[in-house]
Amino acid sequence: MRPEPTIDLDNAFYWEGLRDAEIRLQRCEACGRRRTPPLPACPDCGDPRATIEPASGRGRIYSFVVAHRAFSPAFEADVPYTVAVVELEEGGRMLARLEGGDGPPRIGEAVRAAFRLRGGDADETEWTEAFFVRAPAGGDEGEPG
Amino acid sequence: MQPAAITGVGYTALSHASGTSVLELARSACAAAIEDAGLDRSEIDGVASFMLNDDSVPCLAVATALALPEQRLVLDLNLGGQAPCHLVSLAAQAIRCGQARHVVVYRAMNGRSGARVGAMHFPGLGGAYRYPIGYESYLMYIAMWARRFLFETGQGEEDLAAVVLAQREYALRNERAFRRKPLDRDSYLGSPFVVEPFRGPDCTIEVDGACAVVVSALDRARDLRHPPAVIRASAYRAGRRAGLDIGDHLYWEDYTRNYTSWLRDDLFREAGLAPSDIDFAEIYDCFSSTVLMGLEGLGLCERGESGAFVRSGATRLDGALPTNTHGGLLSEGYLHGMNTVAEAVLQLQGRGGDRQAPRHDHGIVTSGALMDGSALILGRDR
Repeated sequence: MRPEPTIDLDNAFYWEGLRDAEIRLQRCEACGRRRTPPLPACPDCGDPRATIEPASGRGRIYSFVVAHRAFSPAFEADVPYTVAVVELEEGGRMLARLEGGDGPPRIGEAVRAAFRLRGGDADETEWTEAFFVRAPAGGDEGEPG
Repeated sequence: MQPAAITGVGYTALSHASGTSVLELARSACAAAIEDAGLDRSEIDGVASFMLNDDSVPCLAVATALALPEQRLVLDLNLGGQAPCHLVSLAAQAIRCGQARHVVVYRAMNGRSGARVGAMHFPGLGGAYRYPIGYESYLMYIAMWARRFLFETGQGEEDLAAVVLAQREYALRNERAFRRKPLDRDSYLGSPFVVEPFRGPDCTIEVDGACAVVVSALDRARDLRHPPAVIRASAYRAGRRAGLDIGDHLYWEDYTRNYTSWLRDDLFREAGLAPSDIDFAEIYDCFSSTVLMGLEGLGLCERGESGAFVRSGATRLDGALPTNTHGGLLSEGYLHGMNTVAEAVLQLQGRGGDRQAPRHDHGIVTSGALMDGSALILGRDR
């Protein structure tokens, strides 16, 4: 069984956003920087005031790893799988599965968010996972950032 | 102010399955270190250690099992590989202030047959973004940084290979080392990936065992069995935006620079030394990439040149900077960097045997791999 996300008072809006197929970021009302994962104050200026805003779902690969073995039984069927740190267009970074595309992923490659339901069986909580999809070969990916 | 020095080191055997309790491993390594220093246990007035997810035993249990007298300093830290140099530093500070005279610092773990750090889930707020998607081992976090580091600095698998091969050569000269089979470039490149960009030999080997060092007041250290390894400088540093827990790096901005880049200037300033004054280095290496990042972060070579530096033979015994002379955690085994400190002490004291660095007036040692960590510069007395 896959571990479920621990939803708390600070991050509930984020997981609710994913359920609505939307990545929601906090924008600091003092310095304007956007952040994720959720934090009760801005890690750059310390201001607690934030507005929650939707992100476009577009981003670029900052780094990635390819797991060739599972470290727990829940992920054995997924091997090999890729996890990336994606830099969102608006700011902030997300950790997510990376799927699609031809050939090995490239740092700087453009990706877009997609969403899927997880859990929901008798003894599991239902939650939504955000993952990122690479553009198919030949598509307009823009220049690596 | 009373300077401090490391006076003794102790180890248990390293094994796949110790068949021994963690308390007995800890007791045994601490007793060996006290004996090695030439101290009587009645002189020990401080104990310090670290553990993750309750995988070890608290200091007072060890003090009790060692029949130590009353203790004036006890430090149990909930930390990983960041801790060894940090604990030595805190012990040295207590000694400088006169709050303790001799502090034994240990790490004990049935790290292979018992709780294994490599696949541990860590408590903390960052877990919500890691574990549900199968991003669930330290190996992955370091691999994520390694990929970006290699990309930005124009390095690659040949540079990781160089670290692994150089350290394996040292392991052939270290009877304690767990991995002592010779390894060449082709065998390295032929090893399957575990988590790209890491192959099996890029990863430390988890073991059961314990290691301890004794930190002593220098005035007493001068009368003891071995030449004191004087603590010339020490630093701990957590960079800004260090994240939500020990495995969370999402708020960290630059995966190509770890804590070594942030503590370097303070460390060398305190020692009154420059990187070129360092005779040997023991760089924390849970995975091969952290050696390259550490060499660059500490200014021991230029950015992007660490791989070429290692390939040139500079880190070998006859090179400019013998590095990870015990074979590192990659070869000797994963005692969470306590053994990295112990090796630095042996080298400084001239007790390295077949793997002794020819020049050993000043050595640098680090603890940790990512957002936070610690380091020491050790020097010979006078």
